[in-house]
Amino acid sequence: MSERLFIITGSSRGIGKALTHAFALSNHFTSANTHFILTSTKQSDLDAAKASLEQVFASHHGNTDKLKVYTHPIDFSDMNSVETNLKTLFGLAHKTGGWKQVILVMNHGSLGGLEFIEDVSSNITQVCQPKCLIGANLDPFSIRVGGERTDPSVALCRCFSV
Amino acid sequence: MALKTFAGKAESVDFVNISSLAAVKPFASWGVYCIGKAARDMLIQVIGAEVETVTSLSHGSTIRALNYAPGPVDTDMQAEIRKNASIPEQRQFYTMMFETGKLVTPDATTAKLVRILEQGKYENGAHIDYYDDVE
Repeated sequence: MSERLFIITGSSRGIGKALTHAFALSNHFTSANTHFILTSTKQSDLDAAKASLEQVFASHHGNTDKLKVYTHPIDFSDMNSVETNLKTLFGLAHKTGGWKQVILVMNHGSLGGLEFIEDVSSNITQVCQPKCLIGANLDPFSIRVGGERTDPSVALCRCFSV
Repeated sequence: MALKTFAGKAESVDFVNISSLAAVKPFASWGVYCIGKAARDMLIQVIGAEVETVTSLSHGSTIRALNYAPGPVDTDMQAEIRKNASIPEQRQFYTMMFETGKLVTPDATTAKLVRILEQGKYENGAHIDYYDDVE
């Protein structure tokens, strides 16, 4: 049980991408075999993020022998596919014998509309439904602005159903 | 789902939420963002409280949860604020921050988060900001 697994959402740009590099540059976190599962909305972006991570890892450690990077795209604003996609995501790096450490980073997000509350097109106070189901159902954690509407602006609210 | 998936299958499991100052402080015209960030922040706090209170949830793993507010980071989101903020003073403020190099770089803020995780001294469910002195 010496290997580590990092799962990072929104990992193809911005803070998420930089964080993959920061973990790769940490001697503490790369002391044994290091596995990354990267997700963001587009596979092409993930391919680039993977290549970038491998390059940073190799520049610091000399090679990528102890690095394994898995990718799987998820659109957290699509309520219908999140659950299935998370199952796939978590299954990518299945390991018998267990991990030393698993670090999950909920980084994905969006700014949403830069609007005054009275201009937000739905009733926030009525329909905000933060759900957090630990060890029970698999419903993704979500806030719905506008009932069942899957507004891209609330994509930030979706995270792992922990 | 993530907790069920990994509890008992790792010595330790860390849930990290990239939070925001907007999770704990209101910003005019950022309502949807603030509400979402506040919910995510509280989610982490509750996870921290639950695994501290109900040890059976951890299945023998050390489960920890952390909120990290990264500061005003020079990413696409800041560019969107400079361009589209409803309030002129906000556009001017963040443009000034950008032009005078006061935005935090992604590398700087993630290096700080990694140091915090390496040291592992935070309380379960804590909210730590980039500008907090944690060394």
